[in-house]
Amino acid sequence: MPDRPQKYQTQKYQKQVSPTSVNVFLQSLTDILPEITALEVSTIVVEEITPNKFIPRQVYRELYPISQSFLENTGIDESLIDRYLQLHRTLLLKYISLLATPQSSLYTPGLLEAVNESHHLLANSNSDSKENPLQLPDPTDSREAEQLEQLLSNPNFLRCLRKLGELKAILDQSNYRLQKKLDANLNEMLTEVIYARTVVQLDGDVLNSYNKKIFQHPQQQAILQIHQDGVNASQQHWQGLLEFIIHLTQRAFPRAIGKDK
Amino acid sequence: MARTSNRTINLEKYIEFPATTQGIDAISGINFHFNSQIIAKIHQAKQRGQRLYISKQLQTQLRCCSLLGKESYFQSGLSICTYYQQNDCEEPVIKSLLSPDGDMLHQVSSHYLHHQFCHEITSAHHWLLPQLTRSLAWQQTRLGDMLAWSIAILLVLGLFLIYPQGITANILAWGIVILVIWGLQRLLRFIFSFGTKSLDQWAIAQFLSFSSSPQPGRQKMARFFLQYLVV
Repeated sequence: MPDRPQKYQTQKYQKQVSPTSVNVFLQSLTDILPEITALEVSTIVVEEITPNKFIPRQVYRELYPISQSFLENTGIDESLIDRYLQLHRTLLLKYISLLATPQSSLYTPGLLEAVNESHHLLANSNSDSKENPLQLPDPTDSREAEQLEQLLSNPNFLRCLRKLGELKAILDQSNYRLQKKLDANLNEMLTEVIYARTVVQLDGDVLNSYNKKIFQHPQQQAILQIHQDGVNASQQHWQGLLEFIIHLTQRAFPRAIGKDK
Repeated sequence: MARTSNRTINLEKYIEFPATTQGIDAISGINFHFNSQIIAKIHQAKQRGQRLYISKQLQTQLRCCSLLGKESYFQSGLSICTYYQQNDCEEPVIKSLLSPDGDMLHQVSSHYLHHQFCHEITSAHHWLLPQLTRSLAWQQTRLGDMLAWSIAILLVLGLFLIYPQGITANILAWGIVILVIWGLQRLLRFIFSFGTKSLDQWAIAQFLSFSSSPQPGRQKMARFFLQYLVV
């Protein structure tokens, strides 16, 4: 790959200017702000809830190899392949956007052209993301270890990884049951993810979307009620969290706030 | 049984923070362990307008868990799971992954949708979420107080070092010493109060720098800060 040496160059450069930890915090805050565009609450009915645990490296290792041929070889049900590929694509897009964001610790100006090309390719959902000029760092390759390390300590990337890990666990379950059901000749399609989603935009617009399966579900009312409770709780939780963050920054950097950079 | 007062409900026994094994970079979340009795109590508390009782210890654990991520200040998300216990068997009913960027993912177990207490369990879970967040905020740091106490004690100790003959076994004398220390720290606190803002600011900046440091020692300092220096 021709762009590899450039990558290492920028890393070295960043090591030199190694920002102080407080700046790292400010950085993580400025990273998070553009992402706060709306509150998005999803409720998913699952067969089984997986325990609370997030090991970034492990989730990364699970998501990294996903490709059309990999999924076919590992015996993933055909109906789920697209959703698995979507997970990989989302992760790759996150990585690429970090490479192209000047404020990010992974910013690599030399790669901008490749980034644009990748965006173009990934916009087409039929393309195989493995053919993309930019690829996620290979966890088995020691030469890419440093890049991976940096990626796994990026809070922005970690947030994305965590959500995708959760979604993958749900897909894995669906896959497991699909295969079991097929064996037992049960063709009830109960495996489709039932969900309700509410997006509350910052300007106050509320968008509700429901999977049509929800209206055929015998516990329809219960699900909708749980979702509504979830939306209320999430709103309050998020408001509290944001207030706390803003309050903290105001006290830690009273002079920095309100001044333009 | 949970200790309850008129305004709060104590659920501390049923809130678990699974040990995040040091060294392995695993991040777990918060687990609630409820049974039908507790669910009924929470339901009651909710109707009476009570709040969750948050002890100092619970608050510290919450703060550590929801603020300190690994190597980065921001936690990648807070995962909260409610388990329900019946007939000696415990199962997860609802799990929420709350991400600071505004994505909230709630998973509900399909087995519990037709459970008689389904609504009670999930609404208890949802009732607790914002209350936990509310406890994160802190009013001020106690750095000024700590500093005042230590300087007062050191001053008196210093006096004894200079005049060791002053040490007596007289209880009254010791009482006076303690009074002097107390008075000194009040005085110092008063003096410090003029500079509290910048002291606070310095302390918070230190905390942030500790918590965003990858070194375990500095992470420990950040924990210490959350535990002792914040009110």
